[in-house]
Amino acid sequence: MGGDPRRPGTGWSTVRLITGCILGLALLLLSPSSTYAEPPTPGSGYGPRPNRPNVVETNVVATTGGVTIFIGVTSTIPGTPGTPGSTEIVHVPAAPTCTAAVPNIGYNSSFAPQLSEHPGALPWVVTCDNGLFTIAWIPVGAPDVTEIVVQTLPGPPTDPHSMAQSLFGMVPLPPVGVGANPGTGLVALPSWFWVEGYGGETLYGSETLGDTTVEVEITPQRYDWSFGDGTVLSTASLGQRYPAESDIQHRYERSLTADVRLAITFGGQYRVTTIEDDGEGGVVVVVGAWEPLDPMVRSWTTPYPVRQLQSVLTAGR
Amino acid sequence: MRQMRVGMTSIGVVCAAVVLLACGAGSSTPTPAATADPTTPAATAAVPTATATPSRDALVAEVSAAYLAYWDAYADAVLHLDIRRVERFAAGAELEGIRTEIEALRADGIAARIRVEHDFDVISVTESSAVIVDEYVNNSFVVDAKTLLPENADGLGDVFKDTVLLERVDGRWVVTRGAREPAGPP
Repeated sequence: MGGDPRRPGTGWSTVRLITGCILGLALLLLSPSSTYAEPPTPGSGYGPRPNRPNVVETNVVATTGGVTIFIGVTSTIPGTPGTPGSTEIVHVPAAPTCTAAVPNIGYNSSFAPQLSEHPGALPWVVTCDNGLFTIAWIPVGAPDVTEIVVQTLPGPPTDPHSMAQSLFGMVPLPPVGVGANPGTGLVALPSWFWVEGYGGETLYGSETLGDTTVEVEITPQRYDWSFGDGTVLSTASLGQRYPAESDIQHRYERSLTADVRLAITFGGQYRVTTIEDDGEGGVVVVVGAWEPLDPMVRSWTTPYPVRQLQSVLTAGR
Repeated sequence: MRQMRVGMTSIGVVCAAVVLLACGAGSSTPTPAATADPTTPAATAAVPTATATPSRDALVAEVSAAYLAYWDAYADAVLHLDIRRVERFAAGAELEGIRTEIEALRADGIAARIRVEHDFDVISVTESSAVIVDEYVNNSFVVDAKTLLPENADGLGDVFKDTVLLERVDGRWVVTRGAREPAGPP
């Protein structure tokens, strides 16, 4: 039973287990150092659907009464929003539940090379409730699949700071706009401005890569106004929406269509949560301290027409 | 099936003959077809062979067309950073993955021109779901998000192997999930 390494049995099982361990260890040792670089330049290569779960290895092991499929994946899992400043973990991926089934039709001729790469085995389709989906090659004549184990492998080492900085730039911002009154500015009369669509709330996001979860919190630090006539103003205030009198005001001295630009400087901080072995067969969740991120500036521009009021003299007056 | 996708245009279609080998319907241990050469009469005679029914062929053709339409829509979406362009062709985890991908591209001020040459098989199909394995050559590249330039660039020519699930949702075949595996030798 143990003579043929492709057949279910104790020897076969041991070989596959050892192979799996060696593969896993090799992945750990050979992974390149963390490389979160600048955004790619136009013209450089791009891999479609980069965030699909990456099935690094699939091992099939004979067990009592069946076979067990071990699937090693690396994937980035979007986090769910949490409460800013809380000490709770925002997102930790749970182990998925999976099923396996034999495909129900034969194979096209161009699939033959893949079949020949796995002699004596057939492709089973594995589907998991976390979106994972892959093929496992099960030896012909093997008993039913009794267990499917999905292991999240470390993947390439991650630099949490770079991961957080990247996430910082990806957190969706509210639909910010520039509010102004009057709708058409008048020369020599003050125009009132305010931030539309955003009340200065803290924004947040999270992302999980392997056993590492990074959370970011984003808060506005400064509002820089450029009124389109060479005048600028920096405030800590969002201004006040009309009909209240806004503390962000500007008086134009000539007619023009001004490009009013609002630039918000956001500050950020991040925290890293990791799941680690406790050395006794269990795991321990390690929640890191909040660390600062480099500020990020986002800007919005609105055309604002300004007109000269004309005095009209009428007869007798 | 081998298909070249260049942006929204497909160039050349070379469809391999769809020769379906029997899987031993109703059996939990189907006959292995690994060593069978489905193009030779001797090989097809050596294993139990089922004649492809028109309905199954029609389903395979339907799913194949939907898969290529998905790629066109996906290419359009990541070029224009507009998730709406792919919403009729993807759903669930796949659609959310594309949404995240577009957000990441937008954050970097870039978009992507998709240039891929498909070589895929529909390895499983029912009235409601289908599985495709696609080993494709990738020459896609990054473009500026505002100018959409450059229009052409040398791709890396790397090979990706994706397994994709399509499901029929409201009468339409849509891609609902996928996974990437190490590709074989070119």
